[in-house]
Amino acid sequence: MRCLSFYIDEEVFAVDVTLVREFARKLVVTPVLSAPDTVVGIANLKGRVITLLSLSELLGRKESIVKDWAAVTAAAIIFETFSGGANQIGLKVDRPGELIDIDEAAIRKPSLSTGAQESFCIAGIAEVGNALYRIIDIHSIIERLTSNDQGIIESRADEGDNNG
Amino acid sequence: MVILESDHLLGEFEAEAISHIGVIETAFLDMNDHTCDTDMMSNVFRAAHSLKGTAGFFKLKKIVDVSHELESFFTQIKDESIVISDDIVDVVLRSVDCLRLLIDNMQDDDAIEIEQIIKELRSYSGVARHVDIEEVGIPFDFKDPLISKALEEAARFGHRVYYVHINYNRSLGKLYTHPEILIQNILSVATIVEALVRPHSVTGTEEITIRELDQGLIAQKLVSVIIKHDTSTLELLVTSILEHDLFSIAIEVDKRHIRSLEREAMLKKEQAKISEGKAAVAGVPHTGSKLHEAKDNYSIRLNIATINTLLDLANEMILTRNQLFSVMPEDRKSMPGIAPVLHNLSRLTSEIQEKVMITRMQPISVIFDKFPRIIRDTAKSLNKEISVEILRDDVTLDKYLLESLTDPITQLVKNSADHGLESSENRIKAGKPAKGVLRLNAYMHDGSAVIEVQDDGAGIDTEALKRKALEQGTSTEQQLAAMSHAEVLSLVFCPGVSTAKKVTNLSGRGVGMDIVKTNIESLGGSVEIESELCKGTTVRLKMPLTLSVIRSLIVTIDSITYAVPDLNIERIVRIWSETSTKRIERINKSLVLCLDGRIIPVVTMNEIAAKAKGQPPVSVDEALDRSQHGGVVKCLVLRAGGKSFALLIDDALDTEQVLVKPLPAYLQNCSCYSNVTVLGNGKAVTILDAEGVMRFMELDDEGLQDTYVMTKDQGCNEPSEAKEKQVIIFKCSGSEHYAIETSDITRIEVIDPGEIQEIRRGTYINIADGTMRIVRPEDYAPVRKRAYNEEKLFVITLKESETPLGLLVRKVLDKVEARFELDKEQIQSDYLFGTSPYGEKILIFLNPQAIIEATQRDKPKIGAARKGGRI
Repeated sequence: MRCLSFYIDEEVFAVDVTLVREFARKLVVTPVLSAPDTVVGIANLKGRVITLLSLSELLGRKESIVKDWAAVTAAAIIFETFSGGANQIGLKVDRPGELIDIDEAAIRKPSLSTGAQESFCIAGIAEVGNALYRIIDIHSIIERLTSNDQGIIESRADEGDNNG
Repeated sequence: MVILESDHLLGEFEAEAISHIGVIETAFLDMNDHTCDTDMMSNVFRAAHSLKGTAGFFKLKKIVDVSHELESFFTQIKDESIVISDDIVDVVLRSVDCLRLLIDNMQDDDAIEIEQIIKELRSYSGVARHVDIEEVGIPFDFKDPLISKALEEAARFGHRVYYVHINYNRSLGKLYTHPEILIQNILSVATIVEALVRPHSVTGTEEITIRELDQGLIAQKLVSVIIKHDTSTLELLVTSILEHDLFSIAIEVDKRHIRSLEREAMLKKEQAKISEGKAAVAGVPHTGSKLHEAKDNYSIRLNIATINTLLDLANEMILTRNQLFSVMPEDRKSMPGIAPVLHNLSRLTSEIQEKVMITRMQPISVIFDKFPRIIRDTAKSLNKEISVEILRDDVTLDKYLLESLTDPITQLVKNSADHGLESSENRIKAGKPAKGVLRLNAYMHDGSAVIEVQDDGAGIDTEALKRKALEQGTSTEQQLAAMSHAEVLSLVFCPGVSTAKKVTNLSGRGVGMDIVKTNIESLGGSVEIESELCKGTTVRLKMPLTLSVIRSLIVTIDSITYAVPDLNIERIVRIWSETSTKRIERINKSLVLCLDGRIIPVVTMNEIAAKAKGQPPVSVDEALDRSQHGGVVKCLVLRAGGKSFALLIDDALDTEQVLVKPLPAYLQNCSCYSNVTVLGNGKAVTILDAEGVMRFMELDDEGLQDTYVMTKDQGCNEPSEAKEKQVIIFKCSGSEHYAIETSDITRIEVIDPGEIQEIRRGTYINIADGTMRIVRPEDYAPVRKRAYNEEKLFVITLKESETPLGLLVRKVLDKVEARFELDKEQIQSDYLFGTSPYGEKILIFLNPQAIIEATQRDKPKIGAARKGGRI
């Protein structure tokens, strides 16, 4: 399996390259405040509006808070469209890595110790050279966001009510 | 079960078939007085025929059978052996329904019963079906059972019968087509029923007739006979699905050598009719329909996704053009000849975008054509007599808009038919014709499309409506008494008044009217209702032409950019400090805007985001703090569905025509955005949905009004002299300081005194679009006026003047924002608001409106001022 590797917070990840449409270096991001935290914002790529997702948030970590949104640009991996032109997504990354070949037999399932939040993002782990690549399962992420995110939001809404 | 050739082609067939049965349905519904015009009959005949032909190609036997029967039915109507009556129309409509069912279930039509409808269609004819072909001058015997059987079979599948005759002459050299190629060409598109070869030889001509069911064999035999002789005549009787022209092209034989036998028979019949003097115009519709056919070939079906992609690309092109223009200026001068090229590029890109946009537009007839049927069915079920009138200019609307309009219009039409129009007896009693009229009208007005649903029925009983509103408690007696006729009528749109049950004992109308109104407004349109008791009712929908492009205000909130549709914007308010007519107050935990005596709920983007994510919102004080910039709070007053709210913003940047794009699924957790778009600067932004925000935040300005009245003492309504104002301070020839509010002026310009021209009694200067009259403020204030001798002067252009009007002043000093206590006693003049101390100066406030009025009256100025001044 041919994979594109990328870095977020100096951690290395990989994604099946056949699912990747392109890599965009300087996307001007417009945040959408009301959207779930996993959505960084929207960006224009060649006339198409891309929804940018934050892998950090998906993995259950916090994205660094941006103070001034007027001039935020991000690098992102843009995926092929899976569910209609309007829903094309990109994954915000710190920097791209390189193309690597991963032997599918060498992919191990993520260990049980991985958090629940994380497990739906990660399809498996593979060791190439000295590096340990975590392979992103983009289909699972999309499925989770479009069908099940209601649950996430509701549970958060409960917390909010308690606080308020 | 049918074996499918290709899903893709089948999809095309479905679209085509639906348009064909649409033609038939419309034609028969239009037949109000049961007259049959030849032109229209040829249309429906052609539709049935084409349907049969294409269905034959896909081997959809049931569709073929029904359409075939329908076709011969139409032939008989054309022949006038069947006279159109209500029953006939019913039968045709039922066949159309049957066909529609078959088309909808193409993949699995086993369960669909067609025998009944076929039997019914046949019962009207009773005449045995036969293939009508012209036999004169054809060497084939059509009475031969084998031939007639083959032709009948062909006719069932909509194939046409052609007679092809070709002279073979090998000496033609290059022009000689090898018979094998010719036969192959023919067999690729047609079936040879019988062939006749006459080889030319010295001994005379012999005839070889070849008849084979196996097409391969027939080809072999033909070729072997023809190539034996240098010259021979080949005559073929073939059947093909293709029309005459296409057939000729497909087999590469000139049209002169091919005779379409059916058509000849048809023409001959019409000829006969003409000679009988029965239908002198029959020939004309024929050529007319021919033209029509040709036109049809110029249109193609396109997938909407293709158009949308094109539109995206066109917009991207515009964006790139804009970028090019922004980087080019430096190089422009150094590259001679580049300017016209850029100009051309700019024009072309705009044109492309416009043209692509137009491709999404569809005529209003797409939905109107459905209504005759709906009304006919409703009328039948209600046992009423209703005639339908459809008037339409060339109104075209965006495809999406049209689709969304179908339901509301259906609702209105059903309302009219059901509740608006009375039964025949009641109509006669009321002195109206027994047949009610329901009129659908569409026309363009002021850049929007207007759609009217009109009936000449009973109208709405406003008194009953008032009673209902009282009962429901939606309005009080005083309110109702103060309402105009139109306002009372608009009560039908209130949800409380218009629920079905409660309205039936009114005049009956109003079922789902609130839903209609909500739907139309969510599409950016508006609804009006006009009604007169006993005369009828008109409901008028005003729609934007397209949803693809909307005019939007671009705003920033917390340095994030948003687009807000112009349609929803009531006004932009700037609040400098707590003045009485404009201020923000706190009620409980939320903010309200007091604006000219109204109380409007205030929403911040922060609150929306917090609610969407289920987080506690930031406190209102913080929100207010954040949106203050230099002591100014700006907000947009937005209006949707008859209610208003205010949204705090940082800044309003610009208005722009934006192209709406669907909202990504990931952002749909709150209803506050309708769409996304890409701005001219390439930024992707969300488009705020005012109605959605209102729904999501559960805002209700009416409820708020009451709360506020209880907590406050109507403080909003009290006028006060102390207002925070932004003013321009300037000087004229004297030492006095003048002030004028910035909201009253449009611009300030520096001019050369030499530009000033005296024309008759007025003073003018030239401006970009004509001349502007200028006046001296001293003419309107009781102060000394001296001539200017400065090198440059200033002109302050006043707003709200019909003809351009400017104030000529010596020096513009400052722009300040402050609270001024106006003193009206010191100097009294109609042209002055009064004076106010500012620092060490005394400012004289000019009243621009009075000055404008004075110049328009053109009376001697100083005299009027003094006289009115009562000093």
